[in-house]
Amino acid sequence: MSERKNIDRLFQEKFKDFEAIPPKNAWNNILSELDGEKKKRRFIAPFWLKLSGIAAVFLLGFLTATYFISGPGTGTLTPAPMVNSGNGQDNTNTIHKDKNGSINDKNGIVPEPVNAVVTNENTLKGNRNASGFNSEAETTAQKEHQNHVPKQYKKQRHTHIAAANGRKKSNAVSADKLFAERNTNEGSSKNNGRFKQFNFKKNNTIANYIVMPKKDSSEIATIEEQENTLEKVQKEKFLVAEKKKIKDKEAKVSRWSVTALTTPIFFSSTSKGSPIDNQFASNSKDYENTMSYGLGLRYELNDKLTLRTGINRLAFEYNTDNIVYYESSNARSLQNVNQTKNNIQIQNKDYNNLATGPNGEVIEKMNSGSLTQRMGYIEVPMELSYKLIDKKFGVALIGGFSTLFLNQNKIDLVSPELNTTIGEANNLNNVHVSSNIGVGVKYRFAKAFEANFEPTFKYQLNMFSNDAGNFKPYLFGLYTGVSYRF
Amino acid sequence: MSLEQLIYECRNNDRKAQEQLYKLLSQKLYAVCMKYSRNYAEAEDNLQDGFILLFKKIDQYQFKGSFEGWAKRLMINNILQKYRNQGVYELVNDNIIDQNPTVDFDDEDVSLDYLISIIQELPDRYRLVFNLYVMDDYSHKEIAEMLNITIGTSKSNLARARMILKEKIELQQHNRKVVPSIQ
Repeated sequence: MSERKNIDRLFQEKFKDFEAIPPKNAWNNILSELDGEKKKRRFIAPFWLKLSGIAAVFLLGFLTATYFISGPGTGTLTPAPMVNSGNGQDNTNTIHKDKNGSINDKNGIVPEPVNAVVTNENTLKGNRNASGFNSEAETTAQKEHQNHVPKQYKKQRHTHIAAANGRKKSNAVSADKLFAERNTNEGSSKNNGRFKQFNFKKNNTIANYIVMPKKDSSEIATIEEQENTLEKVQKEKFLVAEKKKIKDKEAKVSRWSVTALTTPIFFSSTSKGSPIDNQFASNSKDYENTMSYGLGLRYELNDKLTLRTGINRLAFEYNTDNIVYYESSNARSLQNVNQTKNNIQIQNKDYNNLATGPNGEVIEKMNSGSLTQRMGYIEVPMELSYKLIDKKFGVALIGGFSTLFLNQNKIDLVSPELNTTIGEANNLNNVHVSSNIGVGVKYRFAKAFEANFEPTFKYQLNMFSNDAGNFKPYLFGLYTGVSYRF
Repeated sequence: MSLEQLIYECRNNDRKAQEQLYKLLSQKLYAVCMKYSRNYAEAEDNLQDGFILLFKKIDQYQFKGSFEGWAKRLMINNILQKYRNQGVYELVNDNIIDQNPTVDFDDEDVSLDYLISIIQELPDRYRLVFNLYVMDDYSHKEIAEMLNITIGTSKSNLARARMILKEKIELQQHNRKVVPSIQ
């Protein structure tokens, strides 16, 4: 059904009820800007910036690994399961996906900071809306006539909208009614689905569509050319200005934050074995869960990478079960223990010569119990985190190492008859290192405050100086805390 | 809650109220941005910047005239200001007789998507003048003041915009008749 219409009327009719659903993230972007965050901009990350993240993580991993491979007493240790490879991959992936990092829409527009002033309001006619609406109403009627909508319904709708409009002018319209009005509009526009579900079409082959009138074609082409070059120059200027602004802004944003952490620690070993004495290697062991407390300091190196350090207090504790002990005037110390109680002989319950004891003496009274080894440390982590998601809610990968300083070392004998400290381990290093890998989840609940939850795996690399008895300890900590940006 | 109350709460920077107002107006204002911007991405930016400006300036709304009209004008002016900063208006003047050509078209075939795309493809000033005059009922005098151009330029820009749009619609209609569409 072809008909002849003037251009203006065609567009006016088609766009009469035009509404478009904004992208879902639009409100969040507005909200974060209202909250005073730096604006998300299309920003070309320099090449070196992308590489620096990958390089830093690799370097850290490499240094830690070489130190321990060549370090003393680490023959049995495998290189740390460092975060580097995984993180490296993520780096590249994320960079490719980085939507802020590339200007790829056809016009390469960088949004302008909002400083525009509404200057022309006064020149507007007060009655524009009224007249605009009337013509709208007329065209609505026509359109609906074409669509063969029952007349009664049309009338009802018109009066409803007109009434709503009238109320709008008298400033007494309620939001509920506005919603209702909107709903009607929505209802009607759903019939023509294209009104609501607007799909952006790419600028496909404009050239095909442009067929200029013969007499004007050259003239218009020149104008368009002029405009294009003008736009390009403007855009370039604009980009340079934008980059400067971003730099200035970044300089003002604080990069430092402190964190208070409390952490349930789950301690365990990846293999059987006993660092106390080989004879306990196959004994069952209970690992105690402890709590760690600490403070963290973080510095944002760039948009993606954060350097983290701090200080934590933590302790490891586990029990070796199924041991027996008895009094002996000539007690032999356990393999890796500086025993202070010299009159107690401790040995495995399953030991072959129970009846006579290892020294051939006759055992008068034997008690069973367990050994509790407790090791306390001051931990200083040095980690890098790489942000995967950085909004109100964020996710980051964490990798690095911790230096642990021994500050508590004791072994207790625990039994129904006797609880006593028998001495301290002599094979614990005063300083050792752990290799750390974790995932950090954060939620920003106020402008400067974030809640953090970081399940982290820390493999203890050289906890024991010489004979670890094939004991390969690790800890899994649920680092939970609040950070404050200052 | 009445609209008036909502506006007052927005003035107090109440995030909930701001979100409600956003929900109320965003689809209409996004439609405005679609028409006045060069593409989808720019429309989104304009919507975001426009709303931030709206919340900043909401205390300037005097409760005279509809709030929706006020918000729409603010959106449009914000976009015009951006183009002004980009020097879009500094074009050479040319003179064409003001005319409103007619076009043959099949209502079923001309989709809104297509019309939006050809509006967005218009040179910036043609697009602005066409939108202001045809879609939003501004007079050439007002447009000339808003864009800082002469009335004659406004008229000739409008004529050129109409001509380009007409050609594109006719070409599309022609192509559809020659090659039946796959729909």
